[in-house]
Amino acid sequence: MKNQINALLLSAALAGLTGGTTVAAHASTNVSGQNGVRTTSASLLKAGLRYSGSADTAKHSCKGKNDCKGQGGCKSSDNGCKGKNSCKGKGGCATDGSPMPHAFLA
Amino acid sequence: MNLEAIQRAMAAAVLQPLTANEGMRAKTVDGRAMAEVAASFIAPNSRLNPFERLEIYNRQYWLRVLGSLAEDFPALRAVVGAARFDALAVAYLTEHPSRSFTLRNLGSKLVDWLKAHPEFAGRRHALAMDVARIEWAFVESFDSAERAPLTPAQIAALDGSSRLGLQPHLHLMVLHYAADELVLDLHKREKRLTSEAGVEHEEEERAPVNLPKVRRRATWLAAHRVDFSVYYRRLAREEFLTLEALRQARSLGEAIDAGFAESAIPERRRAACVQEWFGTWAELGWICAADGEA
Repeated sequence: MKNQINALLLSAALAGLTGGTTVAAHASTNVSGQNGVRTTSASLLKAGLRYSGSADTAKHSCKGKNDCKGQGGCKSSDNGCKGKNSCKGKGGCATDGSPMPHAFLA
Repeated sequence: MNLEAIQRAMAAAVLQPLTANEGMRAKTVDGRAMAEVAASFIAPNSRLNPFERLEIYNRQYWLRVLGSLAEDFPALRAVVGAARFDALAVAYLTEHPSRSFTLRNLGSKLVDWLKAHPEFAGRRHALAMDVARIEWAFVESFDSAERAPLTPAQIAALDGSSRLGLQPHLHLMVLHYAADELVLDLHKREKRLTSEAGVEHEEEERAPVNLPKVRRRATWLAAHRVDFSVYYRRLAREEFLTLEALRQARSLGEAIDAGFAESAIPERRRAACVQEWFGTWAELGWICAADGEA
């Protein structure tokens, strides 16, 4: 009995894999534009997906850069970067313009 | 001083947290005068003395890493509060300074660190842990590798003893709270507070966030990437356990067994569930060949 149930579940898994792969292959042929982005929005919603809202390439793109020159948002303890063409080498750059965390005020 | 000694002295100074006035501390961790340390390997110029020249790098480092961490964990910041998050970030980054060429990896140890330091999360520690898990999973899913999903020919060759792989960008989480909706709401809030010019509304941003009531109940979640965007999806407990078993390189038959361990799903409904789950996973491209197999 146990073996029969296991065989049934295994068959169901394989059927699901086959069906899902077929749907994905069909979706991948419905490309939009030249970069071949899949038009799977309807499928994604049906699958219960929620957009995280965090896939912001611009946010991550500047990570790893050591030079804030030209990135804006210069900040230093006194007059910021006012009147300066570049904050490179001046110290105190914050590319997002964020204030100094209050933890330092403790 | 040789080069290694200079590099170590520089790193030690730069990695030391700033003072309340955003300046470099007057003393090193081991109690020496920072001005003397700076003068030992930095020459003054016409405008700045050695201390001031070194201070530039100390400030630059901390402003950058704190800003980056806050950017990756906006919901955690809202949950614990801005002031507490600032203290948390300084303590975490003091213990785990940037070690990578990319700031993307800065928060890689935050979840484990927060687990060991509940005092930094306050009374919402369990919720904060869940939120941090979700936000780190979003970072991971954003740029983890993507492998080719199983082909029909590969599927046709499967049996109960086969092992399967999962997409590297698929991240599975088990949470104490249904915190996914909260994270989504807080990310929307974060975007609203950031103007198109990238200037944050500081006062509103630091104001306490009135969080909606979040129910404490076990929640299983998957974060992954589709067409260069990160998505998440709630999973049934059995679905999560099956995927987790597949990730642990258990066979297909064993994974299905593991998924239904202590399950409340009646046996007559299980085949339909399994077919639906595997169908969805295949459609989303989650299932690949096992590691080391083509």
